[in-house]
Amino acid sequence: MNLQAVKILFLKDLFLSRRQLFAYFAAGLASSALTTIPNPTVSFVGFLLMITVAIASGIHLIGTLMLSESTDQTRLFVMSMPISLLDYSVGKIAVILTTYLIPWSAMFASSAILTFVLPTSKHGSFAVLPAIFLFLLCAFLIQLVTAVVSESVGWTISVMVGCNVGLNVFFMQLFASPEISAAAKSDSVSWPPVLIQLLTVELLIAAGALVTAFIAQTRKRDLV
Amino acid sequence: MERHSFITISQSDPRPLYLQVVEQIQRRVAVGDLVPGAELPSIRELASSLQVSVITIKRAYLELEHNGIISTRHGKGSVIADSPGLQSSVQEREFRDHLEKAVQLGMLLGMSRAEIQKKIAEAYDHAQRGIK
Amino acid sequence: MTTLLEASTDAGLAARLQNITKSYAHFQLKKIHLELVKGSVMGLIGPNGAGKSTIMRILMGLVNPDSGTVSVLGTTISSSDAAAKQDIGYFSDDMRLYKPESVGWHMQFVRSLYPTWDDQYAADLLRRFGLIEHQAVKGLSHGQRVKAMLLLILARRPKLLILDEPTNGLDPVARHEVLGELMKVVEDENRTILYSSHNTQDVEQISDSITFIDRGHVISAGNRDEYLDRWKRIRLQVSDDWSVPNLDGLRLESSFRSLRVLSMNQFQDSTMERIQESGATIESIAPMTLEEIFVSTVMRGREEKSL
Repeated sequence: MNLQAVKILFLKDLFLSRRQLFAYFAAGLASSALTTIPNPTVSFVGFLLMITVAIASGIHLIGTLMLSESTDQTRLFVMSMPISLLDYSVGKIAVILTTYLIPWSAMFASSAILTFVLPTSKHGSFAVLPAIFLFLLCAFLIQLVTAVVSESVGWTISVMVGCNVGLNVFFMQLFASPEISAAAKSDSVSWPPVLIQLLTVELLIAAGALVTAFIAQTRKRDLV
Repeated sequence: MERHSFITISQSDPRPLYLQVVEQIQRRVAVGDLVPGAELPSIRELASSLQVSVITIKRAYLELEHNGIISTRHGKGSVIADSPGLQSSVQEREFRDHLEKAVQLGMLLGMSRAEIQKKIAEAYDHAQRGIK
Repeated sequence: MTTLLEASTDAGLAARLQNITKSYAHFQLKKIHLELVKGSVMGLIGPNGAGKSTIMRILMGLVNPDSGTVSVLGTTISSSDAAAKQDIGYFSDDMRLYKPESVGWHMQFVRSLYPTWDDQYAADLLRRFGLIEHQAVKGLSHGQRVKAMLLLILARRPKLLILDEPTNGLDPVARHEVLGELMKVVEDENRTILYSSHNTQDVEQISDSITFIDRGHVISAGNRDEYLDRWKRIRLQVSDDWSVPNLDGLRLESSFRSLRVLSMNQFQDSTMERIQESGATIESIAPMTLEEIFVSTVMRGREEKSL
C-alpha cells in the first residue's frame, strides 16, 4: 500500500464532498437542537430528524463518493494513475467513514450532552445512546462495504433497505428489553449486561465489515 | 506556422507519403532552393511537424540517400549531398521518373516499344507547338 | 522495409504481450501477441467490440488476463502493482474528469501523484490547446475535454502512451492539434505510443506499425509501409473463359462483364507477369487505403474461419 497515494486520494475526496459535509454537519446540529425544545412532539421530531440525517448522509456519501465514480466514469481516470486497488479502497473507505463520522459524532456528542444538561431528561438514558449510534454506524459500514466490494448500485440499495428495516426492529427490541428500559429511566447512568453484550456485538460487526472489505479488495483482479 | 513548410503532404494524393516527401525535396534541390550542404531537419522533427509517422520520413531519407541526393552522418543529421552537378542530375532524375511512369502505363495498356517511342515523339511535337 | 523498425531484443521493446487470453461472458481475447517497438507509434485498428480496449486495459494492468504475460517498459505488469503505471499515460474515451472541478484543480491533483510532472510543459499545453485553467469541466466541449485529459497525461511525460480512441469525435482542428502533440512526443526516440482508432486515416498518417484486430484475434500485424506496398487493387479486362490465377493472396472482389477487380495482399513485381500470363489485360494497379486494406483483411479472415 502506498500511503502517500492514499492520503492524496483521501484529501481529494474530502475536498469533493466539502459542500455535503457542511450541509450534513449543520443539519445534524440543527436536529439535535430541536430535541432540546421542551415540547414532546417537537423534540421527538428532532430525534427522528437526527436519525434521518444519519441515514441520509450515509446513503448520500456512499452514492456520490463511491458509486458515482463508476457511473460517472471518473474511476477509470483515477485507476489509470499509479494507484492500486487497495490504495483506492482504503482511501475511499477512510474518506467516506470520516465524512460520515463528522456529523455522526456531532449528533452523538450533542445528544449525550443534552441528556445531562436538560432538566427534563433522565441521566440514565445516556446508556442507550452508544447502542443506537453504534447501530447506525454498523448499518452504514455494511452499506459502505457492500458498495466498495460489489461496485453495484442494485446491491447497495438492497442492503440499504435491509438496514433501514433492521433499524426499526432494533428500536422495538431495544425498548422491549426490561433491563434496558429500566436503565434508560433511572436517574443515574447504569450499564446492564445485556447492553454491554449488544455494544460488543455491534463493535464486532463494524470490525468484521471493514476486514471483509479489505480481504475482498485484495483478492480482486480487475481494477475497472 | 509550420516549422518545415517547404514540404507539404497531401492525404488525397494517391502516392505514398514517403514518396511525396522524396519528390518535394528533390524538387527543391532541382530548382536550387536547397543547395549542397544545406541541413535538413532531423527525421523525428520533420515527422512531428508534418504529422506523419517517423517511418515515413525514415524511408524518404533512405530513398534520398540511395539516390545520392542527401548524405546522412550518423548522429549529425542529414544534409544535401555535396556532389558536383547535383542540381542538374536531380532534374534529370525527375524527368526520368516521369518518363518511366509513362512508359509503364503504356506497357500496361499493351503498347509495344515502337508504339511508345512513337507516342513520345508525338508528345514532343505537341509540346513544341504549344511553346511556339 | 523491415529494417526501418528494428527491435530484435527486449531492450528495444516498450511493451510486449505474450499469449494473452481473457474470457468474458460474450467475448474472448484469444492468444494475443503484440510487440511495441520503443520510439514508434503503433495503431490498433479494429471494429467496435473487437477487443482493442481490453488489450489496452490489460497493458495498463487495469484488467488481469486469464493467462499469458504482459511486460511494459521492462517490468511485468499486474493489477496489484501500481508503480508500473508511473511511466504510462492512459487515455480512454470512456474516462471522465470530475465535472464540478476546474481544469486547474485536476492539474494539481495529477501533479501530486507524479514527480515527473512538468509545470512549464503543462502551461504550454494549456495555451496551445486553448484551455482555461479555472474553467469547470462540466462546461467543456467534447474536444476540450479530450484535450484537457491529454494535457493531464502528457504533462507528466510518460514513456509510453496508451490511447484508446483519442481522436474519436474530434473536429478537424482539434484532431490536428491532438495528432500534432502526439507526434511531438515521439520526437524523443525513447517514447512510444500505442493508440487505437477506427479512423484509419489517422492511423495511416502517424503510425509506424499497425495491428488489425477482429473478434478477439490479432488478424494481422506489421510495418505500415509494408501493408501499403503489399496491398494493391488490380483491375483486369478478361475473356469469358478466364479464371483467377492461383497466386497466394490474390482474391476476386467483384466482376462486371469483362471487368474483374481483384485485391492482392502479397504484391511484388512478379505478380504483374503472372497475371499477364493468365491472359488478362491489366487496366490499372492502384494502391489501397488502409481502410480498404483493413476491411479486406477482416472479410478474408472471417471467410477463412467460416470455411
